Amino acid sequence: MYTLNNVTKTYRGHTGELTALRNVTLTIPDGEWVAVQGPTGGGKSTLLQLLGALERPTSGRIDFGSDSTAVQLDALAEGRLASVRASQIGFIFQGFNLIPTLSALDNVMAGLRPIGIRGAEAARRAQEALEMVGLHDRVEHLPAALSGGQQQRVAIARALVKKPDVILADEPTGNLDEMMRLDIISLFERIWYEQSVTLVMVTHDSSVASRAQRILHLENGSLLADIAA
Amino acid sequence: MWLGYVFRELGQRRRQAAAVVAGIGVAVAVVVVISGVSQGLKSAQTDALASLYGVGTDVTVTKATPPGSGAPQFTFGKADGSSGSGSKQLTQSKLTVARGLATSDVSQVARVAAIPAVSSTAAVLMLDNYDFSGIIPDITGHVPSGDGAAADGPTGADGSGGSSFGVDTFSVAGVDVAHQTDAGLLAGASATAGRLFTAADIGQQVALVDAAYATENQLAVGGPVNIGGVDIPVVGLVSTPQGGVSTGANAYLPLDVAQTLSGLPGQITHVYVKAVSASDVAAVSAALRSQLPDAVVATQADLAGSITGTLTAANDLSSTLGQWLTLIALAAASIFAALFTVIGVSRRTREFGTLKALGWKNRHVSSQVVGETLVEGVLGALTGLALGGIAIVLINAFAPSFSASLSGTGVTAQIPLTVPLPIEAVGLAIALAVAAAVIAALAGTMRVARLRPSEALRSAE
Ligand SMILES: Nc1ncnc2c1ncn2[C@@H]1O[C@H](COP(=O)(O)OP(=O)(O)OP(=O)(O)O)[C@@H](O)[C@H]1O
Ligand SMILES: [Mg+2]
Repeated sequence: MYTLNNVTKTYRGHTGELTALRNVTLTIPDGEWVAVQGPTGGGKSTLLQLLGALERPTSGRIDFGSDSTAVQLDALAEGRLASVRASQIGFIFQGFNLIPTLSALDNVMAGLRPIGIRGAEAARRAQEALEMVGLHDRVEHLPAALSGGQQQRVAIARALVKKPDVILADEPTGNLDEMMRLDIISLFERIWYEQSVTLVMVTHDSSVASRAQRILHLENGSLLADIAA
Repeated sequence: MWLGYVFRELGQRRRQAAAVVAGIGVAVAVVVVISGVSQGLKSAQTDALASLYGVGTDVTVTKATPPGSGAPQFTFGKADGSSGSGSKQLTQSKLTVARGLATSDVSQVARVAAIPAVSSTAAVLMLDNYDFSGIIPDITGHVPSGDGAAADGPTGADGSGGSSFGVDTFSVAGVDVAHQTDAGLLAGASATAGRLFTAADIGQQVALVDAAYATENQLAVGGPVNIGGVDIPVVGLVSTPQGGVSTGANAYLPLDVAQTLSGLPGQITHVYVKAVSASDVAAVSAALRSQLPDAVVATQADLAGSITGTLTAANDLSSTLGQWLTLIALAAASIFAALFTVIGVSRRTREFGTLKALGWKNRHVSSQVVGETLVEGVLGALTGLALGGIAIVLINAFAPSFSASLSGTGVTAQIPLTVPLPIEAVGLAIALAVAAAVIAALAGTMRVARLRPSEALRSAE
């Protein structure tokens, strides 16, 4: 469960200030499947980074979790944010972001390292996650030896292996062709359904967005529409 | 630290890893070679002292040099040499007291021996043998009267056609046969061929030759050596206990024979003195100084500082330059390794950003960088030791040799340089490699700490 209250994110660069997200207030209940849409530069990735505890907002408040495990993301120190990311959040990138020198299995195991699961137990759980995404026969392959769709499956397994509360995906099919796109979206839906995670996905594809329970529309950093499907 | 990840990274980014390994390796090799050479020079210095001074000698007594003594003059009369086809072949030998030395009466030995706590004495007459040989134009016809032309010293060429002069010099020591191995030049020496002097050699024209000098000049036991114009049979070749180091003189004669051949009857140049024990050396030398006011009394400690020649120069150079080079090597290796490590981290911004986005903390990411750098440091140390070892083997194969002389004694030795692979340099080299790796790892770690997890979202490189 997320509760955002008046959240603003301003980037300060050498070209001056840029407000990527402006006074966003919203609530995302546990287990919801949310699509985020909007024109380029609208603030979609910025919103996802705040939800994913990668960045802190410039102002406003973000509460994450329910009751006993609730934390206030905007007020946490760097190390605590890392712990939240490590145990509760699975992040999936448009560019897959696998470690090029590690095998598929090792890449998935990298998701368990910061929560202290290592060795045989880590390998067993990583193997399980790879089976869940249909890659049990590609375990020892390096990323370069896998297709784009297979690489994204490894990345999904890496996000899943820690049994997160939330999966955040930033245009996960943006680098894939039509065929693979459908496969991956079905995989996300299956995981959302079977693992009962909260799923927030940035997508340009309206046909994908239409399968979500809710669509957020961001433009110029402002939340212009919040549509329940 | 995740070792599998460390080794896979190093295996994949071989060029970057090889650069750091090579940087550290070269620095380690430089340090190993420097410390090996400086140790080699130091032990050569010790050998030089033993060779020039005689093993076990505690004090030497010589006489202050009279001013103005120099090289001998050669004088040739008309009758000298053989004549033919307009030029004259001349040869002449001269045996004189060694350059820079003065003689004293042999009775000096008894006065020295009478001093309490002197355990043994050995007298030496140190001589230089000059062999002049040359061809000069036959000028007999042009000189109407007189005894002949005088060539003033070895460089007295007159510029007319057909002249060529050469002077060979070697050192000859007249030694006290009864005490030859107690103290002095032949102390501790042994015969590598033939024998040393025996009591029966007193008064006999027999010679010992330094083994190294014999090899250079093709002299052998049984053959003659020409000293002072006289062919003297060689009865033994001698060498020092430190293999390869020459003895203090090129040739040795019984003292009385040397005195006769040089026309210095009853004269000596050195008394080598051995004290009863090391603790008596100071008292003995003090007594010698007060009882022999004309003499120059020197202990081994005094003389260690008066060794001159290329060996001493090299030694001085290596100890000062060596420290600087070691520091420079350390600094260069550290900067080089740090630079490459930081560049490596920067090139992996997306990778490390991703790991941070997965929840890896700074210490998790840093431990990978530290692990990679330490492995590079260890490989650098091994590479450096191997390179340094090869360099040392090469230096020893070419074995440069240095000259050393004891100022004011007329004694010179050739000391070959043998560079050891110094054990403490191995420790030093490993410490250096680790220091460079730690500095590089720190630099990399600082870079890691500045990386934001959101760097993971940056568009692909
Ligand atoms: N680290 C940053 N520093 C400065 N400006 C940034 C940074 N990240 C994003 N921005 C700016 O913030 C604005 C919103 O960016 P964001 O990436 O959230 O847009 P987006 O909706 O994801 O766009 P796209 O569809 O192109 O991915 C953009 O103008 C972008 O240039
Ligand atoms: Mg974006």
